[in-house]
Amino acid sequence: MATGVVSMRVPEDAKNRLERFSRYLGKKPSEAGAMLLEEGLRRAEHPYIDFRNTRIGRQAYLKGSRLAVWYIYQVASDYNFSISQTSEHLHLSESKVKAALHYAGSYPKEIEIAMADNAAGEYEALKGLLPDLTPVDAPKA
Amino acid sequence: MMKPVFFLDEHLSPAICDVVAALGEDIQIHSILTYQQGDLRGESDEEVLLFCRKNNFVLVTADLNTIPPLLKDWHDIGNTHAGVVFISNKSIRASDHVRIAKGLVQLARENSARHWSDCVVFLR
Repeated sequence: MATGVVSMRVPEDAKNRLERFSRYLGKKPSEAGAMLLEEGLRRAEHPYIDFRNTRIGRQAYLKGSRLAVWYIYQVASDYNFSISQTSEHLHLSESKVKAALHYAGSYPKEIEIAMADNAAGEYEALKGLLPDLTPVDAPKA
Repeated sequence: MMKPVFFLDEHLSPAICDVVAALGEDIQIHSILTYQQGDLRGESDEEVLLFCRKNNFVLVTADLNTIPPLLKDWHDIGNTHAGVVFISNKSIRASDHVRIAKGLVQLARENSARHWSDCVVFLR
């Protein structure tokens, strides 16, 4: 991705907080600043969406929920993208489902990667992380 | 034999609770979306696991991204949990409430509540 340079003056306190936040993320201040700028712009464009730190990095979530956008997309795809069925499944308003799907449509690569990560977390992959994980086959419905 | 109490994560449909009841099984199952007026909606993974531990609820989740590494961290520092059932996204569709319900019923029949402390199961 092509990048450009933007210089800006910020209050000393904001500079210190950015440096602390970048240390927390294990990034350079310039990288953390660019990430926060990008997320701020996305929040402005998609006000139902928020970003959270997770063990696997920053992820887009539906604001006020435990629902990652990629998971809402996955549930919707299970229902052939029926907004009403997805809304019923997740106990969400149809507006919120649409908001999540709009975000997913704007950043398809990000959603694709998160879904692939989750799909890769099947038993064979997880048993290294959780050695006591026991596989059980669910009865066929 | 005391049976486990299952607690469905926010992305799993509360309709699964209805299917378990319709199967005629005496199993307690709750959903984050409806339990205590949905107060836990939006809480972090840590908060949900702590709540489950406090109430001796077995968390049922299809989140294979963020919860497994958290359980590993908890294990490393000696933190216990009340049991977690992971639902495979590959072999069980999120919309297949009947299959998920039948899987949970099978787990409850085969394992008493005592069995579940720190237990992790992969339902596929």
